[in-house]
Amino acid sequence: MGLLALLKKLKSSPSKELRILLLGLDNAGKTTLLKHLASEDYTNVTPTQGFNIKTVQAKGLRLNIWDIGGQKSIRAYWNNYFENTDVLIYVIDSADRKRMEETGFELTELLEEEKLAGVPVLIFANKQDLLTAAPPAEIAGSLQLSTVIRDRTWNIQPCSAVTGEGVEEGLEFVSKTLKDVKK
Amino acid sequence: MYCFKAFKLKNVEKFKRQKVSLPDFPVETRANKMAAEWKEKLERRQEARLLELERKKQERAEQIRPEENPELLLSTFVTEKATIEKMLCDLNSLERTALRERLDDATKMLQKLQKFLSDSFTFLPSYDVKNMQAEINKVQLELNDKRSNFMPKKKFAFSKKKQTGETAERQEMNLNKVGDQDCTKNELAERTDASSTKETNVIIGEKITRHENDLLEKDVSFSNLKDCTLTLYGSPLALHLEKLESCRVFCGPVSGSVFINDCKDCIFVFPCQQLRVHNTVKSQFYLHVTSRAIVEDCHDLGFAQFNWKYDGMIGHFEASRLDRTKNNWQLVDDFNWLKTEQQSPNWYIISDESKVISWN
Repeated sequence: MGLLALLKKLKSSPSKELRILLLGLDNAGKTTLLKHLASEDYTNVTPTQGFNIKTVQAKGLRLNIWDIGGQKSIRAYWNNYFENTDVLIYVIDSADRKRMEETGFELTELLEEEKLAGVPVLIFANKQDLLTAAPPAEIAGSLQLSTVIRDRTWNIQPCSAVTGEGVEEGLEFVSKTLKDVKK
Repeated sequence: MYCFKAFKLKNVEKFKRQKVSLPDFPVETRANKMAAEWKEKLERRQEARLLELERKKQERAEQIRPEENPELLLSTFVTEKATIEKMLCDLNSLERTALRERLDDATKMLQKLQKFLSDSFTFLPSYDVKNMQAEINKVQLELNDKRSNFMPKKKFAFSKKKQTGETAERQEMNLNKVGDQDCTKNELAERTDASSTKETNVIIGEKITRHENDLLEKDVSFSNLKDCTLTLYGSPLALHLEKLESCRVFCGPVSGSVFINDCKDCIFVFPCQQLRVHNTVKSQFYLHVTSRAIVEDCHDLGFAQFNWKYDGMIGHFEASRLDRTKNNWQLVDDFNWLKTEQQSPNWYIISDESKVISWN
């Protein structure tokens, strides 16, 4: 399909607001990522209690991004936000190897959620600006993503919420997937 | 019929005669000229038609851009995959560093291939996408196999000798301080893995000191320490502390977050942007925090204002870009205590009497 046809298709459908869920362990960088997407200052980010919502215009789409706090004790409340999610973005702290297992566990739990069945997943391997960050292939390997994720589109994208590197490419995936769903 | 033939013959006869009688201005040449004109016209038209056809063909070809052409995508995929597989073939002949490089390259290429697939899956039939994904997974598995076969993780352990009669430097070498530039990421991973899985690698009763250059803009982590004093004169990007027991930790301004997990009977003294404390008990914090401190699954934590001083700290404050005037040390959020009107029982403010005034 050519670009023009794609644009036409987009234009003909009324611009729906899309719901994007941003999840991940605490200290993964969800809020920083959100702030980056909204072009806000992220230097004074606090651990999120509850959630933050921001509406972001990207790639001709209106994205309602829900950033839910990732502290262990509030992860139980994540499921209140699952309904009507268009894309799940899961953020991983690539430098935090000690909690790789924990983050893998939480992700697997999410993927088994009935309410999130078939929802495309974008995994942000965040903090790639750090020297010690694990490369995405290693993360994909250690979380066994290719075996865990079967019934949906997914992608792992290295990024740094601080420098903004890779974030754009991630959004590219989001918009592309959403356009495919619409077809 | 006969009549027509006769007429025709007569006509021909006539023409022949004409030809003979008008040699200097022949009809034939006029006819020829016209015919030639027509022919030329027709040829020109044919040419234009062909050109137009060609143009349309090209236009159509242009509409399907190379990155959307399924055949091209498939063939690119196959060649790329073949290259990776070839890279993994003759590993036996390589020596260690070249081997590592080769494996890293293969990983990178595989990653690129995965990205290529996810980029182009829109333009491919789902059957192909499935197959291609399966092939990538296969290669990934092979790569993992090769990696574990050829480069087994280093067995990491402290020897008895080092534990007892060692120099401080050597002990420090063995600490899993991350962020060391001359180590490759793999080595670092191995180190961190090893020390986090083996409970026996606890360092006891050491004085560990780090300076500016080891810390600046780095993600620093320490774990499995007992009765140690950790002094970090500098401004790291982030600080991770895990499984410390009866330790004292002093650190310069941390420009990002401090993450503390599974600690007991410790004293922590540092300024930072944000602080997260998990599963920690009976510890005290002398804190400067510009955003908020949170505790989770903790109890018996005391908080007081940061009061440590060392030479060069002001410079480090500037490097960390922390606001010296903004300190929320007493605003601790307890994720296990959601009542706002009551003070959480899990943490307290250290009273003036029991506060440590000077650290030297």
